[in-house]
Amino acid sequence: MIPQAELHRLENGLKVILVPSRRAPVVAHAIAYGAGARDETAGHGGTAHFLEHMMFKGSAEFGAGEIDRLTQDLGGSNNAFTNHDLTLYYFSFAADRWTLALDIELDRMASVLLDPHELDSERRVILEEISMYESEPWDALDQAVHRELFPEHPYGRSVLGTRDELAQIDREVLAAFHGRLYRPENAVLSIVGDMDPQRALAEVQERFGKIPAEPGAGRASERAIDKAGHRQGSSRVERVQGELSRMLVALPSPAGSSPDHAILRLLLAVLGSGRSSRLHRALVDEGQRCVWVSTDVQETLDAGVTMIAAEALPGVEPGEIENSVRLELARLRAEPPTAEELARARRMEVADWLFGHERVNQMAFLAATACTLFDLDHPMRYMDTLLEARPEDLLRVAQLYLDPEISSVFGWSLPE
Amino acid sequence: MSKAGMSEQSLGARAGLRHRIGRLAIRVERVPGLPLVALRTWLVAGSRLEPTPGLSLVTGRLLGEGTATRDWSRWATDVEDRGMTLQTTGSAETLGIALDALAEDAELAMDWLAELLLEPAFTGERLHWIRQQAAAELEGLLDQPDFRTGRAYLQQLYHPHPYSRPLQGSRADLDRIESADCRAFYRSAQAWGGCLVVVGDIDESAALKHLQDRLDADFPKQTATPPAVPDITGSDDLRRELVVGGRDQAHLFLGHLTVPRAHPDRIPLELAGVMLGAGPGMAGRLPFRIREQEGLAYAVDIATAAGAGLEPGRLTIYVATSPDQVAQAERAAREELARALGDGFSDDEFESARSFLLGREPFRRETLRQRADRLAEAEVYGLPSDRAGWIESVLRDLDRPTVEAALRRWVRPDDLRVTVGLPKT
Repeated sequence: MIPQAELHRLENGLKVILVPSRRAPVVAHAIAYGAGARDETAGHGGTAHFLEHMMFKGSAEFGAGEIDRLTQDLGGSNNAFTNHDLTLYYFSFAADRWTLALDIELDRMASVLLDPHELDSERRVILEEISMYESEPWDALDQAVHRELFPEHPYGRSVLGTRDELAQIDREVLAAFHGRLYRPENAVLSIVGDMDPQRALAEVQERFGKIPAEPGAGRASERAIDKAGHRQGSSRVERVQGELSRMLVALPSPAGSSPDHAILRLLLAVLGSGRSSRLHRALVDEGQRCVWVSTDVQETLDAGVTMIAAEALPGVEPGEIENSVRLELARLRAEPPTAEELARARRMEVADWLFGHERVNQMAFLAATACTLFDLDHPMRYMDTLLEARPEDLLRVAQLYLDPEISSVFGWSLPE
Repeated sequence: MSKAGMSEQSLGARAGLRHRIGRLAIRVERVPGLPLVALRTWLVAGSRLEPTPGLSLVTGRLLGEGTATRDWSRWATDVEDRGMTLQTTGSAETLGIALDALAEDAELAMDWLAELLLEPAFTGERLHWIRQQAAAELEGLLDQPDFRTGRAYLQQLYHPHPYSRPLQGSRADLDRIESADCRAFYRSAQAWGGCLVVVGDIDESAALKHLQDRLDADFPKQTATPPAVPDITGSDDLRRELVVGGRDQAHLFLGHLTVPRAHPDRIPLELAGVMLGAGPGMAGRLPFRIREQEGLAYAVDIATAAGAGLEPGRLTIYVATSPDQVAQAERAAREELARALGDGFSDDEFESARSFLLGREPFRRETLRQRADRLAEAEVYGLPSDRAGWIESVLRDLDRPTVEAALRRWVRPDDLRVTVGLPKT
């Protein structure tokens, strides 16, 4: 699934994935750190995300704003994101100039500045970001549901942190987080595109090979978070915002490394992917009670969450929608999907995979993420499991993970 | 002469084969690589030509709701059984069908696209549902403060043109639409013309012949000229403030109309836009000042010809910020525009922006879906087919004074419309 991927490991522990692809004269570069919201210390929620912002605000060789200016000068693009499990930075460049990304990533891994003035300015920006998410009905509901489903586990906290927590994050907190987790042994670098793997590896070695290993650094020794993260039993969250009813149902999912995760994805495809899926028929095209419905499950390091979302037509009672969801979940727990449904879901997943990985930056994300959270073979193994799952596997996984009585949150954003 | 022989083989850098049926231009292009195929049909129509608000959107969606021999449910099952994706749309300027498939199903996909084009059913039962769905969808969008503010901004800019209203029209507009209206609008769109594009890992000649066999005899040959579109005057008020909901966050839109897609000043304006802040991250004058220097906002966007198509696009500066910082953000935006108009740009800024636009081009043609969309755009908007060569030569021929002159021609500080959406509290 990641064709021609080479995995190398430098002496200091940095993993390097090289995927040559000659379809276009471009190269995507991603570096992922095992450093997400789950790695933050108590009272300092938002540190991982704050640091991600600060990584663009100056390092020894690249001043504040210079990374964006240089990226533009060379006709590239860049960005970054933080989630609960990792932080990932990426660049896309024409094939003849991509090594600038290595220079930048090396410099900010080794010597990010964390200038106090820049830090104050960026804190204000993040406060605006928090306001933006709170104003959006779906984002606000999503945060409320996560808080309810994960009362103890970091997955229940907002990646952005709270306003109060942001006020507590100073240079020392950020520097400690950076020093602990922005290490070669806790990073995966992936380079995908029109490049020569041997030369690319030499370029990486020449730069990152200089950073010495630090025994015991990184996340590996700290991964053990209390796994009993999900709230037991079924609970509800209701908010009031806007003029429409919006439903977000959260159920526990296995960790992405579990073979059950792929089987659960297949079940969710039968449940809510495409117009022929069960929930789409029941709630949208036949039932005509919702504008749309969707299902999703993320591949997370720890046990995560399955989401079922729907936006109701005006006047439709939330109970009607909930009943349909409960009914369809019960059907999946009572008997496996039909052979036709399974074949359809599998084919859709394969096509989705192919269309979803045409871009070099998608491949770079996939490789870096897989190798940070699992291993490079994970995507292939995942698809194999998904394609080979037997009806009895589906039934077992449905009974384990799609029973609202075991653990669930029914979240509603109701009209004001 | 065989039907295939009637097609002109494209020349030079132009890849692929061409054909025409009435006003429907057909393009077929082989792109080796992943075993996929992307099909697009864009008929020139859209809300700008609709006689009833919402008709374009409803007609476009109904194209995917069933044909003479297959209802929506059968279509959904058949398409998804093959791992295809089908999306039909009615936008501001087109009625569109997008069908993506594995390459092994290319012929089947072409057969199905032909069926969708030739035999749409427009049944009353599906019309009823699509009207309901569209009305609720609009209400859901208007529930989002940024969208609601954005709609008010477009109303200010495009009044009384159809672009000043949502694609959905209103619930009352939607309730007035009948199946016969959709049928008539679709027939008109076929006569107004458009394009059909097939891109993927296919045999070009075989694919074109297949399309000809399916469409030549049956696709309508009559042509017609689209009706006149109302002139855009814009509203009289230069400033609007409205309460849009949400919490702690105001939405500031500032701008005015500029140029259509095919206008020669569009690319110079786009280059100026990069210098002002449409490039990567926080590069560019506006994001640098508003976000990096003054810490006023997380979201700062600028475009100099946003939404440019057959009608003019718009200069738009968007800032999401606290209500008490709106005035400061607006002042910063106005000052930066005035500085660009008065002092122009440096050579370094110019070369950086040009380099960015040249460098991003390969990423705009990276996927089959992008390639199919680019080809369809070229046909509908009258742009050169060889996008790569065209963009590169235009960008390389530009110089800083030309770009600054374009900015001065099209950016008018005294004419800026301002819309501010405020939270309830």
